[in-house]
Amino acid sequence: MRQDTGRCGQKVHMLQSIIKNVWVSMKLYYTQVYQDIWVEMGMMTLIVYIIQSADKRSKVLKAPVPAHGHP
Amino acid sequence: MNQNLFASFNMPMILGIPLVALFILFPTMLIMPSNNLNNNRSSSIQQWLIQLMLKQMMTNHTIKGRTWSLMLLTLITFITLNNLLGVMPYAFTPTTQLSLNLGMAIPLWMATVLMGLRFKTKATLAHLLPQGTPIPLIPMLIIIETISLFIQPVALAVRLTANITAGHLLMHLLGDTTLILLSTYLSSSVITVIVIILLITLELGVALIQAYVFTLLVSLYLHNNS
Repeated sequence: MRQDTGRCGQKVHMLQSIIKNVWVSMKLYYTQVYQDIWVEMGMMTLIVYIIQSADKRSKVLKAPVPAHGHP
Repeated sequence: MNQNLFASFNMPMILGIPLVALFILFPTMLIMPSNNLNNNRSSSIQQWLIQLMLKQMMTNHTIKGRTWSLMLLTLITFITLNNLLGVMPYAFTPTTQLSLNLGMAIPLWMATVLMGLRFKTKATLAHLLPQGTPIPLIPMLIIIETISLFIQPVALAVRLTANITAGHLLMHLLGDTTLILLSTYLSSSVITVIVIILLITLELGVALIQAYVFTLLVSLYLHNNS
């Protein structure tokens, strides 16, 4: 039997081992128990994004404006 | 030697790439899961500690609350290992970063509140008003209870950050003082060395206690809402 040990084969093998070792044993937790935690992680990501974008906008506004006629 | 007092709280970088993921994942290498029934000594000690923590934390929970056992065990193990590894000289402690602690506290706290609102809505809303409150005080007390509810995750995160950071700062200060005193007053440096040894013992205790307090409070919020 020819073993596929190329890059694609290694990635498939890695994915299979992640599914077998992590997803199969933790499926119930990730889908049922931690539903509220996923929602809150999403909300926190949104809060961090809003704060970061506000910070970037304020830095752009504070940056010195180039003189008229200069790039 | 560090260039300034706060250099050890900066994120270590290699070629401009922050090593935060490495430092957070490193404690997981110290936990050795095993499929054997009879293990070697270190695995047996780890299993015994995990059973002790589980019994201590999860006995008073309902069945719904006990579904969080894995999460709470992971939390206490993660914070304990990070704090203990940080006591070593020149080590970077991820739990001194407010971002990490807020990142742990806010989702866990909000998840417990969401769980309470989802499965026990009336009871969760009733927690906003203590029993036996005089009627004129009701609006004021509801506002105060809501504010105290929203302060919980901030307090969780800041408590851990402040305790660990303060201990590390003290150790650095005393270490620098000892180094300076070694070349001037040798007898005084002996006293500072003894104080440093006592402080390190205290820091080890604080590392364990703060991890336990963090997890216990999350467990308490879960108990209130499940």
